[in-house]
Amino acid sequence: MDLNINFSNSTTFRILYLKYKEYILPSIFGLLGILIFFYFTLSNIQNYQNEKSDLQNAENTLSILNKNLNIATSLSTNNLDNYTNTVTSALPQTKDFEGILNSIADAENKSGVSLGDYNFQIGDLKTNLVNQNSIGINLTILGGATQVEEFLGAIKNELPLNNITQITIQGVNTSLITVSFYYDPTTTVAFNPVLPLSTLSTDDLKTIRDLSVFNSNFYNISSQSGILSH
Amino acid sequence: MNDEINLLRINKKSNNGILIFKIVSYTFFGLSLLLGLIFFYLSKISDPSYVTVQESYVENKIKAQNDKISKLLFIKDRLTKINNILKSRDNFEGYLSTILNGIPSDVSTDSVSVDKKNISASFSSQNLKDINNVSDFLIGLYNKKEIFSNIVISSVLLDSGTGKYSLSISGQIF
Repeated sequence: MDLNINFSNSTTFRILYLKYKEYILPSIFGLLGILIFFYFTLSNIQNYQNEKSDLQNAENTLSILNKNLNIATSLSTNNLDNYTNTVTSALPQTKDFEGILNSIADAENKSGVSLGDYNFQIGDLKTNLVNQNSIGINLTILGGATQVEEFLGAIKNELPLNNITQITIQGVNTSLITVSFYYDPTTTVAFNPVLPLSTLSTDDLKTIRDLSVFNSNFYNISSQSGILSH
Repeated sequence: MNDEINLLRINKKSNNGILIFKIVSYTFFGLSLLLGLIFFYLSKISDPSYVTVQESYVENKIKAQNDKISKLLFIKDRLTKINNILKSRDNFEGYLSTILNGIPSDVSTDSVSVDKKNISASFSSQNLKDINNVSDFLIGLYNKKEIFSNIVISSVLLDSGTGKYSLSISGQIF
């Protein structure tokens, strides 16, 4: 038998067609199946995964927004104003010279100590530990170690918040202390509604209560001469 | 010769092969199409656009509460800074109180100098024993790891004119 196939012969094509015709249609469907799988099915699977992820993210965001809205709606304007006043007294937005002088006068009165001259330090200070703006004041106490101790006990409970940075006691007549009073110029804090909001914690409310006990400004200052008047 | 006559022989093995091939091809085609259509439908119903509309609605309601939220955030920011200050304040009053409470009444505190890192002080008395007690007390504070991380007795002097003994110390604060 001659096994050479002559493709130019139409009879040969007929023979091949008759021999393999049952494979043709399944092959076409198989090929279509491959094309459908790679160009249609896979892309739809990818789309579905993307849409599902987007939907999940959107639902999470919506949940956070709803919680933030509930928190915002439940806030009392009156309480917020009171808390704002308290924290601003403790940490003013500007150098509160009047508040500082009133605090010194109040501490003087509460401790029973007499003060001499005082002066503000030039320039802003930033204490390294808390990196907070502060303004320093040098005070002269007319007394020794005992009077200084009493004055320190009184001034630490005054507002604006303050910190003693230096004490120099010479005998029983004159002592010098340097006090830093803190302030913070921040006026607003940016809000992103899609980030979770939280109310004031128990610790926050305790701090506010503690601060509201600090400081009652009974006395005014005659500031020009630095003399304290009652 | 009649064109309708097919002299090719087909055996049973190739029959089975064709059948399997057909089943695989048609099944693969059908599954690919079905799977594609299912995921097409699922991706359509997972469209997040209706949630996005709700987000905008809620965001607008939140904007109406902006004033209250701003105050809340301001208060929280302030409280964080206030707590940092309160935690980090130096306890000079405590140091002075501890030291002065341990000084006998017959001893004068002549000078004290305190800053963030250092304390120095000088005391005087007519009684050397009291000066010794002050020295022991201050060293005791160091031994108990109170106030002083180190302490140096700078001098112990007698002023022969007044008969007073004086003690000078200096140290570093924890």
